[in-house]
Amino acid sequence: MTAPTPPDAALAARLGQIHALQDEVTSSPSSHDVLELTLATATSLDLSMEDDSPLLWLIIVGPPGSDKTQTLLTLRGTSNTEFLDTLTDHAFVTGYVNDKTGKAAEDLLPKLNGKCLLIKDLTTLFSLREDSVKKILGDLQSIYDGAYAKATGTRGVVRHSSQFTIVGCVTPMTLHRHHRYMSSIGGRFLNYRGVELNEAEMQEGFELLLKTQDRKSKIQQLQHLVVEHMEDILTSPFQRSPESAQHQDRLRRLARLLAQGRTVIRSEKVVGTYEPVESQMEHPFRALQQLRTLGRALARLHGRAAVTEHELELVRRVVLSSIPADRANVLAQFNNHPHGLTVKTCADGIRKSVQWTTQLLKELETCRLIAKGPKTFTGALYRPAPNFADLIVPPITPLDHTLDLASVALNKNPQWGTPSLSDKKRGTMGSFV
Amino acid sequence: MNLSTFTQFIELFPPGRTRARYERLASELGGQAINLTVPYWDQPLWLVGDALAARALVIRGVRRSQVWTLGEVQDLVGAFGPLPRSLLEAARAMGETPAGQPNFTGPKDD
Repeated sequence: MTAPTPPDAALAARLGQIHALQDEVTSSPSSHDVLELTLATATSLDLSMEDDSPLLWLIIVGPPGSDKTQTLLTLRGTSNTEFLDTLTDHAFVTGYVNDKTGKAAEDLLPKLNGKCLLIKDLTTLFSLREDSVKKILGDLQSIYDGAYAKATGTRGVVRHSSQFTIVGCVTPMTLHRHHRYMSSIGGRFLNYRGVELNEAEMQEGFELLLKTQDRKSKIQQLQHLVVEHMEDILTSPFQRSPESAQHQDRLRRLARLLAQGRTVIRSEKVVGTYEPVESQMEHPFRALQQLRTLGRALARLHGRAAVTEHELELVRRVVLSSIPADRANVLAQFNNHPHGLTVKTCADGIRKSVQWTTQLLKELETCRLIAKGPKTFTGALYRPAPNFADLIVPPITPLDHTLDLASVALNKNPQWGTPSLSDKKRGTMGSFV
Repeated sequence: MNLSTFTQFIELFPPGRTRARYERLASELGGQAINLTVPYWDQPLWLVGDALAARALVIRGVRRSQVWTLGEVQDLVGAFGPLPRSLLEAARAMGETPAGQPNFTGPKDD
């Protein structure tokens, strides 16, 4: 047995520092998840390219004012990111040629190669005319699949091959309204949906905004640290260890949960109720590769050589968020009812009608994520499928990101604590101060 | 093996919300907890006083199987009786119950 690669204490300490600073500017626990997922996605390209696996494209879903943009903006200034406010229908390749100079306008696509495209507001994109939205999503699909060619009247056929990651923000309502478009390209995007703030967090948020004197300088410090962290990750070699058999099994099941949860179902009205009549379930292989890359990128962010429970929990959150919201809401009801749900309990929990809830439960049965169990005196009991129960039942509670880094930052074990060359370059290690 | 106390962990943070949060957690932990890392295992273990303290860590996202209460540690060590000199001896000591099951229970994930 060979010794495991030691965690990089300098990276862990800096990430701890980043979270501590983020705590000073936001009360939202989800913002910490968003920051880690954004950083991981933005630095994941080499990991995807390592084994020619599908790229990471991530959508952060949250209501207006929920810190999504603020968090994304902390990456401004990093060398491998390209910021856009939104996308328009000729964003990637333009046919425009300047009449006077005869020069074609610069295309965005080649500029993105090797980078991460950060889109502050995808809501604007979805507010375009239907044909424009379809066109952009169609372009994205071709780009994702590796080659893009566009016939223009002015420049002839323009071809580009460009590989890049994407992180974009959108509101839940916009995504829900356009889920039909998204399902056509859906398999390529992963989502993260933040948890709603509770009353205490809301009050803390008010306090932070009203009482913090040096908010601007804290945000600047945070941006500075994030840029430093990203540059370090992008320029340091990553000694990766393989995932354990147990973690591989979890990733496999998470990929299946995602693929099955996104099953496209066509329902028809049969004797007054809607019944699923046709379904199309994607294969879980692309999802598995994406989730594995996400896990590895998160591990590297933490200075770890392999995924741990912390990274897998974030991956689980992404999987549950990537399942259509209505279905995910039903699955979330098992948090409080791990042994089973009746239609009535579920309808009360998701605050929808019994008819609508029955249809959602039927869909989830078709997806093979839940199974109808024995009848009780209050009705049939639906339970999570046994192979997914441990992934569905645990509730999404705020993750303590700094506590997770404690052992690495505190580690004084000589085997792990000896500063490496890169640690010396970076200065002090093992402290969040 | 590396041991650190929760106080040492708190001292890593400058005064602010994170530090205040961990000071509150310290009181939920009954004042102290021990963070333990061992070579060849990527996850740290937490040693805490009792089940309530364990719960305080679990609700912050630490897996229950990573948190050992003193009672659970005592159960494990007590199951051996006198300190075993070999693994075979340890296995025998742990299996000496009427049902042939180990007579201790470690932490379990919910």
